Amino acid sequence: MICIASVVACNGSGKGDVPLIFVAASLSDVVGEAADLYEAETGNSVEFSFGGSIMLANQIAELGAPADGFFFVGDNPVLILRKAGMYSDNNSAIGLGNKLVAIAPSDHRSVTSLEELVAEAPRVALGDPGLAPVGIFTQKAFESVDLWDDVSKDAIFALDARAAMAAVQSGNADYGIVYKTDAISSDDVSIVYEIQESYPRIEYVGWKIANASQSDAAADFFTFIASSQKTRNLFGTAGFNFVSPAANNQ
Amino acid sequence: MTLDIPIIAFSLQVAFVATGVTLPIGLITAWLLVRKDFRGKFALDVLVSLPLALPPVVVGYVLLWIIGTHGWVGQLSHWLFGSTLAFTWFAAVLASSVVSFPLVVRSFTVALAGVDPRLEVAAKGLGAGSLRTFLTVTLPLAQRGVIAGVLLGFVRALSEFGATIIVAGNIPGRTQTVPTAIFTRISSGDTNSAWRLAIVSLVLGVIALGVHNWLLNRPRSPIGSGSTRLGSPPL
Repeated sequence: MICIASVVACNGSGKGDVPLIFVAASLSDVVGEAADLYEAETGNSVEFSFGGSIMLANQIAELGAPADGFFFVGDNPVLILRKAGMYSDNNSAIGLGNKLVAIAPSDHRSVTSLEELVAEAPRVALGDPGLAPVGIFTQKAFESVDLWDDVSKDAIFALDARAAMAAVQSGNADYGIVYKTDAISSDDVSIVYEIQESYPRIEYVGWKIANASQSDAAADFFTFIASSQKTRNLFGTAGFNFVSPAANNQ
Repeated sequence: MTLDIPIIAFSLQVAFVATGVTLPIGLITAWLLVRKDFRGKFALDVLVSLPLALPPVVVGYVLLWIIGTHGWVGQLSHWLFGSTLAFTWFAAVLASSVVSFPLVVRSFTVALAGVDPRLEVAAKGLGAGSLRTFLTVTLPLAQRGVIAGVLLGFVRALSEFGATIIVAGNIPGRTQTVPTAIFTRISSGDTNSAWRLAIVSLVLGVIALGVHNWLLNRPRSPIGSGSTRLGSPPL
């Protein structure tokens, strides 16, 4: 019985030539659909692990996770990979843009500033700045109007943007600060304010991990996303705009 | 619903293999702790029980430092195979084995201690070697306790989360087990599918514990328990 179990276990999990790409949580829906398109057109499949970009970058660079590609947001995760020698700037990498918004359960009225939002003394759900860049962008936005100390006292620090949105959906938080693309994808929350307070430009970078076992297969997937009109439309409809990866130059 | 089945199957595979690993090692360890006296026995007892006393994430982190890119096992496997064993099914099995090992050994220790050592002495007196005595006298007498220990180890291996998520990651399709999948689904607000898997866990746990308790509570046969009197009745 033990022998059979061992053999079965071995066969079941060693997927030799399928690339594994670590992806920011906010991209989970759209990248999954892009992978379906990719598989329909080329017959090749892709596997993903979703989460906060900083958490995933650390898993790859520090803990040895076997990723073949990445699709992260923010400077920190890309810097982590660059320092580990796993990524260097190049023009084939994909760049996407996004915006920060405040969300609340669907029937909520709009607000016109972060100050107005904090004045209600709400429970705010946001990404943990240590794990997900959405938290860093959120923190910068609140800091730019001196409200970070107030809001962070009772805030819910979530693993990533999706978890922050889940906290709002479940009623555990009054507001959430997430990406515009997350808000668009959910029917249970609505955007009450597009954050105007200043925060760094939000950029996603996606490319292969240097010297990974399936890095060419990962690169192939990214090239497909950038060149196929269907996938470009997919990202556009979800709210992501393609940019040239200016993050390369920082 | 169909997405659940591969996760459940993978979890069961990992738990089966982990149990297969802890069974022989656990039996040997329990036998040493019950029947033998040696220097360092106290230390062995503590070491074996340690995973019970530590937070599972600490167990996972220690394992990661051994088999991951920084550890000597990891560097060896990198040299041999080009990659480490961290973030693979092997790591999931390792995590489950280590956390369930103390429970298994404890159950086995109780089971073996309940076997009258005089029966073993009698068997050896009749010419049986140590191994034969163990396999044909001790083990059959301890079998209910051993099976109960195996069940306990299995259900513990099946439900491991902290160590697994650190050393094996939570990679969907590769190392995602039922507990780590439930965590992901809760985190992303996917409550219905989180509950589905939670109910599966509940059912498996209830069945395993039910059988475990039934095995241990059945009336003991008089043979082999420590209170049996050997030899002919006094004249």
